[in-house]
Amino acid sequence: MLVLLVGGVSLLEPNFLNAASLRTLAEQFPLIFMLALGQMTVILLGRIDLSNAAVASFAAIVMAKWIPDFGVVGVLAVLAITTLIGVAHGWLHVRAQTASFMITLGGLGVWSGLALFVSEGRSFGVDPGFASRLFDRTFGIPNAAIFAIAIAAFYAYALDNTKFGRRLYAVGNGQRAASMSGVHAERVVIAGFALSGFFSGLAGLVLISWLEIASPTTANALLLPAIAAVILGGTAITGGVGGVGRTLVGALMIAVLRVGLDVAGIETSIQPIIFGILAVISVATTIDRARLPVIK
Amino acid sequence: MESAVDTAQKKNRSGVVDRGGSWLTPRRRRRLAAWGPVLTLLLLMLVLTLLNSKFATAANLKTVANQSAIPLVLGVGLAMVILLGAIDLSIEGVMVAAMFSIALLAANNVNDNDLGVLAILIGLGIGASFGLANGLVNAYLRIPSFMVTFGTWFVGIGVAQKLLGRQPPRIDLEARSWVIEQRFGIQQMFYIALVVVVLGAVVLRFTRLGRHIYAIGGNEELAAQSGVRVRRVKVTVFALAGMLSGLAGAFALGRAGVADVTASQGRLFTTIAGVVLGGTLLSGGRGGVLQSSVGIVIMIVLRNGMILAGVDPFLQDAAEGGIVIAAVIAMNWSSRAKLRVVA
Repeated sequence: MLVLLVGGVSLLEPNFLNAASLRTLAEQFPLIFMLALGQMTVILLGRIDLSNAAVASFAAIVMAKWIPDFGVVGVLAVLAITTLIGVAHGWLHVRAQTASFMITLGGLGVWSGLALFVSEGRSFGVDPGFASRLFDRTFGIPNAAIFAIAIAAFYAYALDNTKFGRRLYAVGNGQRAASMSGVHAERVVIAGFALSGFFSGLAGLVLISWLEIASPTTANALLLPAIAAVILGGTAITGGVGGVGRTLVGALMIAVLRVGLDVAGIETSIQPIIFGILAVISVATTIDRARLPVIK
Repeated sequence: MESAVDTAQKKNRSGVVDRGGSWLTPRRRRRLAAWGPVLTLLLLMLVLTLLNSKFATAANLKTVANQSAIPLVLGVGLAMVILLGAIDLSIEGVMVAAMFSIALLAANNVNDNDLGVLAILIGLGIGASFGLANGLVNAYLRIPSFMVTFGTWFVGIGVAQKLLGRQPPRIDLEARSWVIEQRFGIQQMFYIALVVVVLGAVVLRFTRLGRHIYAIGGNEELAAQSGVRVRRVKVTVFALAGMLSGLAGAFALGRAGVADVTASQGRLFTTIAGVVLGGTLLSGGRGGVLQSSVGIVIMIVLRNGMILAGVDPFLQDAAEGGIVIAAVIAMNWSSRAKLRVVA
């Protein structure tokens, strides 16, 4: 399908495969990929994280504030904070047994509000200072993005080969059965949200290393495309089915689509319509209805 | 053996162990829970009156009433959806889509249209068709409502952005008078909102649709087996909610006089938090429009208090997100159970 999409777009628009649009593609992809990986972890558990793009914006703002003074340490501190944010969401979700979309919807409000508050609603340039090596480019790609993708590769390996990975799929496939076979299901869910927070932090880092500007709202528009990437890639929203490889393909498809829409001259104003419908259609085709007795 | 029988006897219908002489008997507890939102509201108003001399002035209370109109209308629609056990996240998108449609059809400065009342009716129709789409996809394609309405949220925003040409449409004063004309010092839309609240309460309490909504929220499978046309009820409720989002869009347009893509920002939080604070459970089947309206007014008063206290507006948004989480958790707390799985 990805091949079809690339083929289709380049047939319709011959200048799609030129350097400029390939560069935009390379810019969009790591960001969507990071957000999609976090979202995928939570979706594999049968949950959803509506806050992850807002957390990425928040991370970008705080990193931009801290990098000039603390350099890499500041980046690591922010990654720790976003991971803890994920832990908080997950803990509230399992402890209060409240729907994850509801908790993270509240989180969306909290973190986008705080991102605006901390930045006073303005965008500002980032002086890489000590952390300039993260912002340096290899073949035009910031090292931070390369670093993030390396982490993704490691994550793919870890999901397939560790106890945690197997437990993640087990809980996603049937939480009750997993708990009864001795998996601490609630801990696995909290860890899933923690990973989502961690990847949101990475997304924030990728964002500022690319733009060298931090804005409190840039990442927010990527919430829906990232969810669409996960589901288009073939991770079912009901949980338990999917993986990093599929999400990689999904994220590439979304990035190609976004760049393709721009190249084809389709106004940005109607792109939310396309992604909204796309998300619903892809959920409709991948959802496992047998697993849900009643659909609310 | 004997002690087990003892405990069994001390359990009441709701399964809570009665601790003998405690003042908070289960019956009192239920009654307190029903009146809790009203008490909270009164307490909140008392505290604000003591903290800030500007709160209890006629001018400020009129402002609160004016600010309540839009959230109240949205709350009626959302309360009905939540009573089903579903959710409608598309409120903000539908609101701005209707807002722009009405602005471009009523007397405005961008084109020559002047449809008057018809423009408003078309706007309500556009809202209703968004809701209809939500309901049809949710009930017939069997996709969780949060996912469907999350998609239509952005579709609505896209429609509004598309309708926004080079300049935001501004409507004539005449076309907005039905919203902002004052009666007893309060804008007319507040009274329309009150009528909507009463109508919503009447529908829920006295009509078959209302009883079916509670039945589906209580236990969908049981309701279906008893002959309730579950799908039809769901579609109807989503369409009604969409129409009310359209009405909220019309109010917002009348208030501001100019259509704005960001006009509905933050409405979803206020509405969900209000509906849930009023005691309408997210799991469905319990609560009602009147309770939710009290919850909505609590949110408006709270916001008003924060504004009077000079809290940073961005921080107010963050606080509302936190209130959503706290309200949902607090109201859901008693239904927790071992091995219960909530996605």
